Amino acid sequence: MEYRPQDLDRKWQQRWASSRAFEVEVDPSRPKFYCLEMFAYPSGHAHMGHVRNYSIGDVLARMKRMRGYNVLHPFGWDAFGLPAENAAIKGGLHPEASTRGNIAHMKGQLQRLGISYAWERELATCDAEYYKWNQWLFIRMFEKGLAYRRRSSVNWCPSCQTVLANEQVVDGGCWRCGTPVETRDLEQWFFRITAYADELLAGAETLTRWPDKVLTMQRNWIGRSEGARVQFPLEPGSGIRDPPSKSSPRASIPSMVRRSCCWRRSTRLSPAWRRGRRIRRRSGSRCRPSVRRTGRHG
Amino acid sequence: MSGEIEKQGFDTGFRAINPFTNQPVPVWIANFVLGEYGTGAVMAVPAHDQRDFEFARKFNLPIRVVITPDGKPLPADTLSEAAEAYGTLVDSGEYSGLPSAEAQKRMVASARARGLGEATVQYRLKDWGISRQRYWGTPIPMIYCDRDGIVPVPDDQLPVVLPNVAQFSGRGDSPLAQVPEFVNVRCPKCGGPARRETDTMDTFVDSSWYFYRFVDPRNDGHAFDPAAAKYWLPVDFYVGGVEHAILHLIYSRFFARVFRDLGMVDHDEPFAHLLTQGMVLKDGAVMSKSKGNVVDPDEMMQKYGADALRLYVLFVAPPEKEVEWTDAGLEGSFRFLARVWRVVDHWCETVGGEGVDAAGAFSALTAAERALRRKTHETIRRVTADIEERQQLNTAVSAMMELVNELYAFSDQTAIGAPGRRADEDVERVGVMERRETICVVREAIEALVRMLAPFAPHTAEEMWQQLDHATDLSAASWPAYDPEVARAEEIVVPVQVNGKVRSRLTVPAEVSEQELERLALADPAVQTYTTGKTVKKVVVARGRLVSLVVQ
Repeated sequence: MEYRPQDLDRKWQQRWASSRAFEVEVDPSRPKFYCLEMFAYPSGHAHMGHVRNYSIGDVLARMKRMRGYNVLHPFGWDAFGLPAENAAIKGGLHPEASTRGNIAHMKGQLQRLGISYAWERELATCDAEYYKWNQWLFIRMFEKGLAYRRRSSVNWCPSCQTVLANEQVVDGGCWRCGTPVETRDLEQWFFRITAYADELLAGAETLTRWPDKVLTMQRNWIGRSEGARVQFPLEPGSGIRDPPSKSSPRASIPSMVRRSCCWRRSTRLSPAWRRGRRIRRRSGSRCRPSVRRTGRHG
Repeated sequence: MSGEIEKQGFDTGFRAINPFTNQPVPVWIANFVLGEYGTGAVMAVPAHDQRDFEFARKFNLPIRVVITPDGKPLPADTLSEAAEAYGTLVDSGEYSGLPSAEAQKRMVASARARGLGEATVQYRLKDWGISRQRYWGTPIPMIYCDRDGIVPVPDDQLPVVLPNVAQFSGRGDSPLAQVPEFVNVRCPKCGGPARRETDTMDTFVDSSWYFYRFVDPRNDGHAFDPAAAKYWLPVDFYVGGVEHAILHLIYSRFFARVFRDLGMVDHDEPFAHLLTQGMVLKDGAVMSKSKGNVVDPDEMMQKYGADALRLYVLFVAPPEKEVEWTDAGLEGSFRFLARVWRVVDHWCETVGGEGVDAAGAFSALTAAERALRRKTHETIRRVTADIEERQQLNTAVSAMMELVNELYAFSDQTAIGAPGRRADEDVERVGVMERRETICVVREAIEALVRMLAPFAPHTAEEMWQQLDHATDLSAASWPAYDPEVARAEEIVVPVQVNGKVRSRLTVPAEVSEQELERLALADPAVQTYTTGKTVKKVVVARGRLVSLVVQ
């Protein structure tokens, strides 16, 4: 008999679906194994990166199932987001319509790949039944002071026309499109992740089965450093006396610096400077050389 | 990270007084100091911080060495880079001679005593701004009332459903602000006119807890049942791209702690084991439409089947490494599956079902049968460990390929022969009987192979399992059991003669080399009793049978 896999694919996919082979329930009498691949943004088409990601997960899920584990292996869709809306702005389908269509198409692709998902647990974050609980959690966080509103200078991507979290600014550009990020003042909601900074650092020490590279990136991102805040008085009479010479072209000073010190008005420097600004002295920051330290780029 | 930014600076002309030395320090504005970090001002230490060092060199600022490894002063012009290691303070007044850590403590204590400062902890991490002026996201469930201020939408009025918006302008303000029916609302507290928040949430909020919802996805009274979360969480194996290292993976760890503090989960860390898989490249670049180097999975599946595609992406490299796509590699995986298919097809009539009783069949095996059994169990051991312990799925596939090669080589020596003979030859072999032992050994090898292949190539494996006459599906079958006794290399006993008399016996692996036998014989204590102080004139090794020494 010749090997004709295309016929086998269809036959067994139908059989697994009709026998609900991968659907599971809580069963305290058996050891559990929760196998998860990062759910997908429904861009429209599964690519080889998806194929690789889900094939890796499926080997673990199927193997553990054969080893007697009660295996939870679900899949869903990270369905909200900019691309669908941007397409609509350019005259494309409504985000709801394009997203639902993309989900249907990609689901078909993953089913043809034969990944052993418990499809009955499928979810999409754009379902009101899902995002209702985002809202519920937001209110709980508001009640606990973990969600708060303040006016602040935020990262703004002029191309995506939206705010970016610090984590979404990569080398000064938008993580999605690379456009240089600007700043804007807006009333914004914030989650107080800093309240957990120490805990997130300590927890990282327990993650023995995470790649070191990821843990290092997280530690650097949290960037804890111990130091001291020390007041430095200004030397009386010091300050800018001479205007900069023509040989120091203004254009060479980056915009960030220009904003914080306008040297044409050097005689009207901010009161903080005249008072003798509190200058932080970093001392104990060298304890972990791999960690980005204190107050400086680069 | 942003180390490539060219350092630029501007001298304000101000000088601050260092309160520990009472000496003036020039005050510069520099682009490598973070404005939002602490006060935005730092005390630079050019001798001991590389960024400060580069800045000082560029602008000709004084560099003072205040820490050295041995506490002996060091001129700054000997430095080619900042000396960042801890050491002993020098040139630091009353703090000279102290170790760095001790000096820090004392300086902070002194600053505090003099009312000049205090110890602080700083984080680079900032609070997470989640407001987005976009439509396609979760509406933020807040109401603004002139009388009551910020009022949450009551729980029984959730969800705040995203209203339909027909036109998308792309302007910077929130599309929801243009829907009066959405914006205008009664204040839940006073009943007066109020306005809804019109921003939506960052979509990273959505992805920070979906793994909890999966344990109980249809629950309409709670985000999820804590009992279900207690059973299923933490995630035992999480796979995704490394690009999520600091976004999704930090937010999820944050949300886990929020749910914990709400009493809904009992763990801190939601993902016990993380694997970040490498990218799939084509012609050295990430596949993208704009580069025109996209390989379409559907097309490949139509041509080779889902299993060949799956097997290829698993076999081509360890999961965490980048891979370069080649069509030839995919074809190779297809050919391997076809080769497995043929050997199973070839043997299934003979070994399938329960026709032959295996009881006691393994007690009287030929050397070749024993070797195949050994290979079967050795492969089970390797594949099991490769998947479960190391996730080196590529070497698991290699191990199975070796087993298939052995199966072919073994088959060739049997009455039935190897697959791939001409059809008429196969016809001649109809009715050929195999030894019961051979059938049992081949059945064990093939069934183990098919079961181990199931996670990689599930459709092909299921079909072969059915051909082997199993009534139940492979997806419900168990993983093959490894027998260490069988896998252990076979051992033989080799006598060692000294001047014609047997003086010792060596227990060695059957495959032992002549050189190894000679080495073992000479090192054997019983043999050494007869060789010590004498000269070994000659060593004769009859491999597998005898070692003979002539001494004088």
